[in-house]
Amino acid sequence: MRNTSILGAAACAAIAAAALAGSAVRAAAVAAPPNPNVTVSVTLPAERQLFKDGAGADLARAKCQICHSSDYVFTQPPMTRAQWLAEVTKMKNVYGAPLEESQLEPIAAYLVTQNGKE
Amino acid sequence: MRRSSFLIGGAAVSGLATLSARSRALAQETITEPFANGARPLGSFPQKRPLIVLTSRPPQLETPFRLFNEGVFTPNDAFFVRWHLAGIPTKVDGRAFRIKVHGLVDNELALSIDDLRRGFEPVEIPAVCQCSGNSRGFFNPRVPGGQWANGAMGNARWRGARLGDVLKRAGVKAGAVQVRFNGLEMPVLPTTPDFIKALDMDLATSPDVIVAYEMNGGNLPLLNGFPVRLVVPGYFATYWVKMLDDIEVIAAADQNFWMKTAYRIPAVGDGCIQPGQTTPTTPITKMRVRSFITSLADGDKISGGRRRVQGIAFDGGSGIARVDFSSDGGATWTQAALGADYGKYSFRQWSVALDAQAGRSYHLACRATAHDGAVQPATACWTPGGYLRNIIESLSVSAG
Ligand code: HEC
Repeated sequence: MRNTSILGAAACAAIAAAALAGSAVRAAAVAAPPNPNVTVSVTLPAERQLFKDGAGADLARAKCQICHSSDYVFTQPPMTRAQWLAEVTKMKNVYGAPLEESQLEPIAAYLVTQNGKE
Repeated sequence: MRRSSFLIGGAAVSGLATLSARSRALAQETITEPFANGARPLGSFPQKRPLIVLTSRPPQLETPFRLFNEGVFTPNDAFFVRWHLAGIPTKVDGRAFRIKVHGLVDNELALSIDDLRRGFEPVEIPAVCQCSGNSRGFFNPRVPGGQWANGAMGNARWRGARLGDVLKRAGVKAGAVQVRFNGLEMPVLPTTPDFIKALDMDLATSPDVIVAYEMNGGNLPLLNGFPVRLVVPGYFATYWVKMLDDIEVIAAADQNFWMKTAYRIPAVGDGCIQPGQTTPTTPITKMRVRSFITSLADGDKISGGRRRVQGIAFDGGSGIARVDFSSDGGATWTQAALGADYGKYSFRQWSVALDAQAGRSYHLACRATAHDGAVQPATACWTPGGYLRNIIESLSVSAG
């Protein structure tokens, strides 16, 4: 429906308001009748494994896909080593990621190679 | 403030680049948002049309922005999806589902969906559900979190029972301070805090807060919380707990992670601060006034002549008083016509005439004013969590 309505000068605002109301009513009439007494069963699509090979990849694949898919890392803005270290540390301290202290730096270093900046 | 001025990998993206990215989306099933690492696949998830995938586990799916031009209500199969914890059930039996009401109450309840539908007066409220982090990808400097563009929002007609009526049935005891909400969403590891939210007693018992079993006249899609979710009109979606199965009346303010540490905004001034500043914080609450142009996208080529430009506006529950429109980057403004009024919590559509001359470019902007007097600001609000963005939106088009 976009870009299709070219309206005459005088009636523009009034017609526009009416057209808005019309589109709202159409949109409101779509969903199937409600019946909550059903069992809804769904299959979620497979996730993508986005960690590329490199030093630290095994660790990231083992630890950073336990609770969520790897796209969480790749949709973030590019981050510095310090910022990635803060993220990895947050995963351990806040969300209880099973990480040894000695694993934080190597994972952060690897993540900079995947989605980093200076 | 111009969407076209953001940088991707150090290179300025022109309106044309944005446009070709959108056309590519149709062919290759990807979409590229105008910020770094903005490439996203479109994914097919159950009960959903193709949506923009931020993360596949847990599902976090964004509504492609052009869909907001198709009507004032967002269809259920286009509604954005946001889960925190990947332990969400993929099978839910609506008949066996029970909502436990307990804590500081005289009578504990275990309500079925039929109990909710038949035992309480049904109310229907059109209301915008907007993720606290909607538009986080546009923050400058960027902040970690779900990197949404502007599509982590939707408007639906929610039908359900008043939470206040449910609490009255249970009988709230003296000393009640908050009501705490939990759903079927579970952490993958027990070391991660369960997703729990709480509302103060006066808000919880206010007439517009409902336990919703219908969305736009149909069942809720599973990914939006089938069979019931909490609806807190005017408030950010973090409180709209999905697959709600546990309501607990408590005697002191809730101290769990998702209230005490996460979803907080600076407790100074209007909540917006300078990057790097540290302040005390307070839980995020109501949405700020926003408006968007929906009939055109940045970089669009339009034909010369008179056309209707259309958009949406909403706020945190006072309702939209007016929308102003500019075709010269904010130098001059004209008042737009408002569409049908579906209530103070709903999207309000607006439209305005634009006389476009072939060969010229137009920097379009819209600015909403709410009934409480709040107006969209010309500079971006920055918060450490990536919340509260409500800058005057703008985009550029050229007439050919
Ligand atoms: C114990 C579970 C767990 C593990 C293991 C884990 N995460 Fe997370 N992560 C989470 C949760 C929970 C969230 C999101 C919370 C939300 O929805 O707001 C998250 C969010 C994120 C985000 C988004 C930004 C943010 O701060 O919210 C990034 C990036 C991220 N994780 C990276 C990682 C990396 C890298 C690793 C491997 C070192 C990792 N995660 C391991 C639980 C985990």
